[in-house]
Amino acid sequence: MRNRTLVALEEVWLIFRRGWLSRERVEAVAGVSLTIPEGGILALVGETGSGKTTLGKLVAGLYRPTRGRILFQGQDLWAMDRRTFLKYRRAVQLVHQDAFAALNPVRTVYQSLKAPLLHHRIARNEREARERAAELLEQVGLTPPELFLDKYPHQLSGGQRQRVLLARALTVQPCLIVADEPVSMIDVSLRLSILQLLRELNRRLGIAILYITHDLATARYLAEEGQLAVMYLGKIVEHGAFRRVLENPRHPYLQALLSAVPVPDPRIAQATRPVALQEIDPPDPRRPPSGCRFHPRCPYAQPICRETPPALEGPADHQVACHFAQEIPPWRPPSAASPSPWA
Amino acid sequence: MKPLLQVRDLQVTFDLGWHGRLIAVDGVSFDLAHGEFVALVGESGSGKSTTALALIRLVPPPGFISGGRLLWWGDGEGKPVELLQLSASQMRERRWRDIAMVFQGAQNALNPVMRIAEQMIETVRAHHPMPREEILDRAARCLRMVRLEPSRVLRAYPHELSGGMRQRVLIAMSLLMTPRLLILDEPTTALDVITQAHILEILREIQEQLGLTMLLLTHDLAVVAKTARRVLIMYAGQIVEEAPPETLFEIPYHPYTRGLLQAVPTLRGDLTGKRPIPGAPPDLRHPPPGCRFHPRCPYADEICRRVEPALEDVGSRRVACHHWQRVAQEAPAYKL
Repeated sequence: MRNRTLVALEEVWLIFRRGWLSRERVEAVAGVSLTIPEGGILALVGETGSGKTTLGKLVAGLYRPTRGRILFQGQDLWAMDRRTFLKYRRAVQLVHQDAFAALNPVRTVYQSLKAPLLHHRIARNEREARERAAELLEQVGLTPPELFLDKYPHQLSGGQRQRVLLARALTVQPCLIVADEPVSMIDVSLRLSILQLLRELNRRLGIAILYITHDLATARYLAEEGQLAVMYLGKIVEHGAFRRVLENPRHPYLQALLSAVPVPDPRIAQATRPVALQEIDPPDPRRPPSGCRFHPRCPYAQPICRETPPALEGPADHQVACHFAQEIPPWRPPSAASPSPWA
Repeated sequence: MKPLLQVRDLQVTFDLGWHGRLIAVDGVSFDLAHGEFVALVGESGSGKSTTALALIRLVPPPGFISGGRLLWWGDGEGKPVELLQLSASQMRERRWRDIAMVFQGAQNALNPVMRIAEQMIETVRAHHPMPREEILDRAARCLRMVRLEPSRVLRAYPHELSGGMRQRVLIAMSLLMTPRLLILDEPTTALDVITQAHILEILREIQEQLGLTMLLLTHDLAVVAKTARRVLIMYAGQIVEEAPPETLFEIPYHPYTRGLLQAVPTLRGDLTGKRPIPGAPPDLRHPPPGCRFHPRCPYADEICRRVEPALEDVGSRRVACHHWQRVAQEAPAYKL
């Protein structure tokens, strides 16, 4: 890690219970340790029910961990005094996938941006707030700002709404943006523009980004220079420098995931077969399997996998949680003799 | 190849009252041949779902089919049946039996308080009187085709199944009446990548085994690279390009197709050439004059702003662009 640690998760658990009498419990996050460096990008990739959104909310300080600690610049988030905690909540901004739901439909863009500016006294009066709001809109590529300041959310396109949401996150000058599937509801042809904007905010303003997604390809676009963490049923199964992990994926789950990503090249696609799993469908997250949580689907599972959960091991730039990480064959992407320029 | 269904100049209009009229599908023509796997690709609002709904005459009001012909050759006689001329009850008989559709997000539309077996029985009986045992027998065979264990699934309630399993139940249900044409609207969109890959494999298997004609609707070009034999690209209510995937992905003729390929990040290969398509899809109440893509197109010039390009035949492909030759020439060369 070249940078100082901004946020560190230490053995964080979050267990949801349905009512205090119920025995039903969901281990949404089960002992996760991760660090987000200052100004860095971490892509957290997982599928439905992996706990990735819950982890994002933990990082944003919206949930209190059942066990474990979250450290912000070395200080325990849930042991700090109220003022420092509020500062943290300002420093970390969450951007949701559904920008339409996240914006008040009866407020104009300016009104949505004005509220935090005035509340946190970043702007002293309306005039300053309007100036600052215009600057923010320019920063997120909504130019000229006069065209957008007095619009209502329904008058904007999906991509524009997502930009307004980012502008609102920027009002409080955050040092970390937690972006939870920010492009999944946006037209395919426009997704890249939001990712480019996030990349620019990271490069120009040094804002760290936790990018939460199910889509490895967009994660690569944003975080290739950064880190990748792959989550499965509440646990991190593989983690490290994005490039290194993608070059040599070791966990059978990540291998299966990579083999399943569709490739926009008929020749490569024809040559690719998804890794054959014992079961196609993921188990119910309310009843996670014993031992390694992937074992019922894993093609390499041995008796030990049923009994002992594997620890995340290896050098800091590539860690894997699999008993047989060294034994299972490496996975190589199939390639056509001459791949299509688009693939 | 013998056609199964010919769609000619299909037009679907939505009457928005005070807000005017919106032509969601405008002059769409294509053929589906017997036993063919065709993909219809478009972004949200492109009109692909509306096109599919029009094929089974289930466009929801205030929309209605305002023009065109649907020629069904599946009855095996010398001349086709014009689906738009059929009475409502004649059409109802043909749905599910001749043309079945798996609707978008339908895995969440299963009745939560009914076991899968009962839902399958009810569905079949709504279309055709048949004894229980025969339906269950068919259901078991269809469930095995989608790699589900009938003994377990038939007794289950929907909430006991995962999203991917429910989607496969729906595919199995659509096969119960052995349709000739199966339309699938974004069958894998809400599902995990791994589940998606397996469902696509299953669909291809079924299509090959049963010699079924399939029309797959998706927004994801990468998905069709493997499954489809022919790809239709739709933009703003019109078909702008048609080609087999081998040539489409190698040299796109339409700037929109090219733009889409450039806009989608991939796992391997160079990312530096990736860029979004500028602008946004048009408001179909006021479509731009000339070519509908021209406000977003890097090749647009005077003629594009004035004259709407026709979908012309180019070898085994079709494209609607005044400048397709230039677009094709400028396709990036292969990197070895």
